[in-house]
Amino acid sequence: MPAVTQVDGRAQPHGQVPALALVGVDRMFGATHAVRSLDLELHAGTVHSLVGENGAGKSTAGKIAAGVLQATAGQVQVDGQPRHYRSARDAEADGVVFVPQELLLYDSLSVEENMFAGRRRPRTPLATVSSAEMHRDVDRALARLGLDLDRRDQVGRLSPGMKQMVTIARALVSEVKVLVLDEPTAALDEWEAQRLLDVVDSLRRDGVAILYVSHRLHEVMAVSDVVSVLRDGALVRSAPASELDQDTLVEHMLGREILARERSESRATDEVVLSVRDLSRAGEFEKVSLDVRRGEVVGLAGIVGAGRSELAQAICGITRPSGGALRAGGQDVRLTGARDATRHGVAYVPEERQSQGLFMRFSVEDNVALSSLDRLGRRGAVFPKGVRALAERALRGLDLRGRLDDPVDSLSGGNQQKVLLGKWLATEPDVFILDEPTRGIDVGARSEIYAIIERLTTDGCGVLLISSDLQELLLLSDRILVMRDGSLVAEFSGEEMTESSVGRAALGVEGHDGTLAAETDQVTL
Amino acid sequence: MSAVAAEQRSRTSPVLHTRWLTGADASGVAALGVLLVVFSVVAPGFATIDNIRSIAISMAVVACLALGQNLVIMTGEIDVSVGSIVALAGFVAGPIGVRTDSLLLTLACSVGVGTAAGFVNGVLVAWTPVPSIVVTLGTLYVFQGLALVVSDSHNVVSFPSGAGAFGSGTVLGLPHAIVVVIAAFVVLAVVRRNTNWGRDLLATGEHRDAARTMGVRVRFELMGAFILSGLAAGLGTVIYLGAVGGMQTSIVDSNLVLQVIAACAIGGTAIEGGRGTDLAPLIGAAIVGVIAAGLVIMGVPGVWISCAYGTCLLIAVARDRVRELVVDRRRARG
Amino acid sequence: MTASLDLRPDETAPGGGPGSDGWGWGRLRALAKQDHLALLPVLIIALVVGSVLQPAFMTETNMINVLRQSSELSVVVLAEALILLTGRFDLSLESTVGLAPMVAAWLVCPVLIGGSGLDVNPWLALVAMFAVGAGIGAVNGTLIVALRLNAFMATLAMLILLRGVTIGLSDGRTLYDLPESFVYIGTSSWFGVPTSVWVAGTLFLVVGLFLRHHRIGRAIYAIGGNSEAARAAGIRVDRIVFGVYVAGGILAVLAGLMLAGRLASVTSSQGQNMIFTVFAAAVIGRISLNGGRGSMLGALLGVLLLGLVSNILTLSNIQPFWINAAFGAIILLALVIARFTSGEKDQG
Repeated sequence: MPAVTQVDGRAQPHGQVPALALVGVDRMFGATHAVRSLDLELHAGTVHSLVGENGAGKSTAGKIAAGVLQATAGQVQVDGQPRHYRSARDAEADGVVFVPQELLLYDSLSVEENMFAGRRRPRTPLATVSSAEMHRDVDRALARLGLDLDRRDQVGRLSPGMKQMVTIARALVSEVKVLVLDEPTAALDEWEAQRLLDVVDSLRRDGVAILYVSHRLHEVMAVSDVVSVLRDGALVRSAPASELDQDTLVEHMLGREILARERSESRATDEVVLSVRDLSRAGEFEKVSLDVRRGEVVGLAGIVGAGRSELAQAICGITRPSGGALRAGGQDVRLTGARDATRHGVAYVPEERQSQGLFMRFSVEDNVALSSLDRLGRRGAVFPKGVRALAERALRGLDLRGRLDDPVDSLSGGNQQKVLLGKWLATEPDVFILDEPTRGIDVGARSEIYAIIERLTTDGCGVLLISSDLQELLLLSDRILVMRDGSLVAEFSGEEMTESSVGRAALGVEGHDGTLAAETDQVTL
Repeated sequence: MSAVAAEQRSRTSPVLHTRWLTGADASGVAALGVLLVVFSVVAPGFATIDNIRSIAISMAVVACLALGQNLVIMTGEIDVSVGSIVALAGFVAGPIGVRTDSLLLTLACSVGVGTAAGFVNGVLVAWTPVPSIVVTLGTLYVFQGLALVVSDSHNVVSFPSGAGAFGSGTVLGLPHAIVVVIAAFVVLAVVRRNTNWGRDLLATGEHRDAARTMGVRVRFELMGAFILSGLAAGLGTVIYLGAVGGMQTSIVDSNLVLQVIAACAIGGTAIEGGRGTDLAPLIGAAIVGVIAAGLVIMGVPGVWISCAYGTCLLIAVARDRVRELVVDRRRARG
Repeated sequence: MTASLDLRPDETAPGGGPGSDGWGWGRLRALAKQDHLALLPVLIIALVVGSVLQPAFMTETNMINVLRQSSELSVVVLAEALILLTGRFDLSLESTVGLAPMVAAWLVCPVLIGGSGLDVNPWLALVAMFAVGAGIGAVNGTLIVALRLNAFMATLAMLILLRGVTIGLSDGRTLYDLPESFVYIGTSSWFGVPTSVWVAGTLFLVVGLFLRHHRIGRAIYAIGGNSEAARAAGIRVDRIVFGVYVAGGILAVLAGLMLAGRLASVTSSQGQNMIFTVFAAAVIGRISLNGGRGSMLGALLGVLLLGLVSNILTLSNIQPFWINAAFGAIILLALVIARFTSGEKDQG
């Protein structure tokens, strides 16, 4: 159990009963052990942050604390008493409120109606619903957050930042003892994030106990009293924030195991197959220039919101860029969509397999053949033999585990990704733009995908690889470009291409080697 | 990058008041007013008490059913079996009314049957993964079949005036049918505003996942809505029995349910759920009734009335779309 | 677990929230992979039950009767299935079934009977009839594709509107004494099988093949499966959906013609309330209401199943009025089973 003592003058009564505690909490999802024997203490008037990678279990832990999920073993204790919350509603009655990452709001309803949906509303002595009291509660909650909102405003018209504020205000309508925030700044820009942190700080001073689940390390360091690091569902370290720094956190989050894998030799040639000059799209990214050569893998790193996927979509013309130039297939072009892009040798494999790339209920061969149907028959006629032949050719060497007539949604994530790659391979491109190709794919399938990517380069394609997995980028890329907040801020190759240098450039942390200027958006209290 | 909080203020024109009349209702009432004025001018004989009364009675059944259907549509579901529920309730309660001439018994029977039917619908929708349109499609046939069985192929005729009080007679100058409908409206509106159940209806329809995660008892909401829809159908049946004087087996051929859905839509309740008011079904039924009656008085052959009906609905759908576009454009700007 | 720094915001816990394990029907779903053939055993059971209960059931006359009576419905189901496959709705088909033949009859019949007295050439009237159907389909297409109105409400409005026109045009009367060309399909037979059955069967075959072997047919499934991805793949979504609505209108007209022919008259209520049975057949026939899934064979089997059940009930010794109730209960049961085994996650 971590010993929490005085932290920088913020009152931290030692030995007081924690407002909320997780004791030996376990959570299984089927066969997956999401949280293992977790012990956590949350004291009133403090901010306790939970950090960890994707899949480390921090979100799950937060949900268990707030009653959204139930532990499969262990206990949740509030003020020292064990509690068995069967739903978020139960927990709310106890003053333990959960603020989800997704904005679970009702767009067509007003702020006030959103804040009271799903909860018991105040009554008049006549047993009717007391509008007056509701108005008072809502106005009070909004004022407490310093929000310039009218309770009658329609939520659907608010900005994402304001919507996030509404979800927090919602938590404050009743007496709040413990507030669990799950990635609250995920959808916010820097100004809104700052507002949010101010609010968190003021709530803390009011005596609320706050569990702050996040991956944004600079925010976490700025706002927390205590930080706990989870890895693979287990607690790795828990200490006052003053004893930690971001590098240490990163170390704990990664752990000691390193995927031993050799980087293969670069197959880059000199021939440029894709050239982007000063490409901009208002509100998403600005003046980005890059080249991709035949046989080369160019990695594009950055955190969510940096603008990488937006860049890829603008390159292909799925969205329209506001400025800049593009050169592909040896010509200056302006692409008008994925189909058009394939005609110029550019294949874009989107991040969202499901919504943007694959037809889940269709068979493998139908999916693979879909973008190449005009190559198959005359006058639009399509025959199964042609489809199968095309699919077999495209998937050759990809080692797909599944039959050609299986529906795609019956395949594992890794195999689905192979189908997607096969589909684009069938169009015979010069350059591949891959957006998070191993998202949601387990370790075993990942190495297969890596092998495929390497094969792409031996076949003579250039690859622009967008990924949030630094290890993956380091392994596959010949050089790595870093995007942050819509601009290309760094390029690394050779010996400089290390995890810490790239990671820092992506997160906007001051680097040891002074390659980066101090961050203007470094959040401070 | 966005600016500080002050500039992030949303357009504060209040969209949803907590008063009885909302913006959407107001426009509906205004449209109704305009229609009344236009028809009074263009159609001689329109603006007479007798005429207004007959419009009201003819639309009362639709209005009553629409009050219940409105709740279902608010939750994002639909109940296409209401027409069959009316038939079933009519053939169960009708003969009882004929034999006993008791309004109370007829009412109890009819409402009882309707509520039971609504309960069946509610259970199937809330506890199975089958969408409501499919469930109520099935129950449409079942209730219809049961109605025909109970009827034994005899129509209910000569419905006595005692039991049929809802369909005839006046109190304070208003036809009983109207009073019943208004009373039903008031009761439902009070329930919807003063119970947690009622206030969570729109949330259930607007964003079902959010509702489920954030504490709304979705199954409870759905059950309640379908039960009330059935109950309203039972009530409407009593009005029907009194006004029409019985129940015919041919009622299964009518498109009552379509009129009901159309009334809700014209009145402003969105078919996708999540948006709607208590007054909408009444406004919609009234608008349709006024237009129908107005056209009749103007000499338009009765056979063309359905046309007007459909056009009304089309206009309502277009209006909803325009509203959507306006909101989208405002959001893009703001 | 990997040891690389994962900078993405945490996704929801593996497996998702409550109910994430699905209904456990995964295995069953895999077995029922041949979706459209899933009805075949049920159909066979129905045939067996029928022949056991009633000697008159398994006769050539009776079977042909079943087929003939299902033929009109099946063509409308075909039309609705196509539209459902693209992920859209059309409630107005039943009114087209009534209106278009009414227009043709109106053009041809003398005033005495209720027609226009224009005495238009019957063949011309037939052409006009199909034009009307295509026109209605085009209007629906415009409303839904171009204006993006809510498909349910817009076609509901059209249903009411068109029915109104039908009644208005004929003044509520029934037009009879139709010319030979009108009633041909509904009354004649080729090789002992009614022409309407041949027509329906051929249509199902042609459309079924089209959906599997033509680029546009596959595009229809793609549009219903994932509109966004379809557009990204270069498919002309709007054009195709519009075309499907027009095709639906034309098919509905054909069904109306077949019906009018069989009854040798056009009533102003022709097709009324048909839409409910159409949807029931489509759902039982495994056409997904969300689009992108289902086959013409499945739809056909759905119609046939309804026809067989209705026939068995009629022939049996069940009291006449229990027939309707029984029919309803069976449909409900079939609908519920169909949904449970299709494994589709409900929207609500």
